[in-house]
Amino acid sequence: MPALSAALLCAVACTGCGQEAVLDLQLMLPAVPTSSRVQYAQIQLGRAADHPFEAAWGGEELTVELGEAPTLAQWSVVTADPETDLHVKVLFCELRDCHDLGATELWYAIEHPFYLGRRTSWAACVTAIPADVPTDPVEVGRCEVHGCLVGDVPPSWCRTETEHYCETLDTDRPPEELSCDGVHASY
Amino acid sequence: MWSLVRAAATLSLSLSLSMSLSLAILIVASPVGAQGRRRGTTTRRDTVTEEAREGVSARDAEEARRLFAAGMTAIDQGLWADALGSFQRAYELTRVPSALRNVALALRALGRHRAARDAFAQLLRDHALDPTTRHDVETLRDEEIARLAVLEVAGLELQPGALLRLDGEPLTDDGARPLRVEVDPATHVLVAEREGYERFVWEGELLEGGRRRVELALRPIGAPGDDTILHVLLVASAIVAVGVAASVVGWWAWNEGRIEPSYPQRLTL
Repeated sequence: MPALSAALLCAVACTGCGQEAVLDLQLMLPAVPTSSRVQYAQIQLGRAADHPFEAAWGGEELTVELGEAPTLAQWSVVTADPETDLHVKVLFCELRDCHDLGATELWYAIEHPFYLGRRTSWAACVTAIPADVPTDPVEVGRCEVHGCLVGDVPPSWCRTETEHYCETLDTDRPPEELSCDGVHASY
Repeated sequence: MWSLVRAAATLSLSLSLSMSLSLAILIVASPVGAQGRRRGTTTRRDTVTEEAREGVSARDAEEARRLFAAGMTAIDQGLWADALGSFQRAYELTRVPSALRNVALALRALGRHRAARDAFAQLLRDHALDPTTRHDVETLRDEEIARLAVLEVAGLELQPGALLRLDGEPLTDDGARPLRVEVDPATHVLVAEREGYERFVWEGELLEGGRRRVELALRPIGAPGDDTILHVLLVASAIVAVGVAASVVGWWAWNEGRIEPSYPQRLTL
């Protein structure tokens, strides 16, 4: 009986073990004419704690070929660490591998986008290719990260100033359809 | 089967009893001088018997005749054990060979084939029999020998000082290994005891002419036994089963709570 109790307790406890948090990201990337120097966008992601924007990153990245129409980049980020703050770099490059020196960048610092066992989402419209490398990131507060709430889109995704809906609700809300200046994209 | 055996034994015993009774009456009626005349024509063994008869008192002879009658009555009633007792006592009193033959037949009817074999052997050994009777007795003896089963007790050399009992009776160890014991075809219980060891008990049935080998496996007191191993196996199986069940429940719960990424492009931090 003690063994049975322990095993069942472990089973119940393990329902929290191995759980992951998912962040669905969407970026509407701007259209580029065929004559443009920039033809590619490379999206890089990293933990905020060990990925300062000023440094060059290696590791996880996603390369998107730009076109004459806006391009929707969609990807999911999975982690088992809910305390992760996320840094996102978008590099605009001539070469597919983005090894050209003239790449310009966009930086996003997303605060606490992950909740174990929950799906969150965030989307942004990039209307133009930046002319330079920024000095500061676009700050995305935790209450701007969508998730866990059904119904109308609220002005804030935090129930209180500090408590995100995903901390108390377990509703799996899919990402919203992204619309940027009349260009719609759905997943 | 039993009825056939019993019928054959009854027939044989009845014939024999008739002879025995006649002989018993003869003994009671015969004067000492008549017995002395017969002595000169008998073999040496028969002389011993005759000598035994010479010591029979009239009172014992009368008692023997009464016992014969009682034995016959017991057989009529199917009371073989009672008949055996009567014939044995009659033989003790008179040493008449046909009384011993009846003893052997009663033993056979009772399924005590080892004792029957011995009784027939004694009859052949201790009494002068006419050739026809001797042949019949030899045949009966051989039949009894064929019915005996053999119990082989192996592993005794590894258990010095072990005391054996078969069906509650101490078993004589003649030193042969494995120890071979002639037994009647029946269910038997063999017990082995040794100081510092758990009691070993074997029970099994031996059929006519059969042979069984029993391995003595005495376990030191306190050593893990079959029950312990079984207990451990049961507990281990239960733990494994619970573990598997818990894993399934855990996996199911985890899978139920798992959120699938929306997009095929996935990055893991």
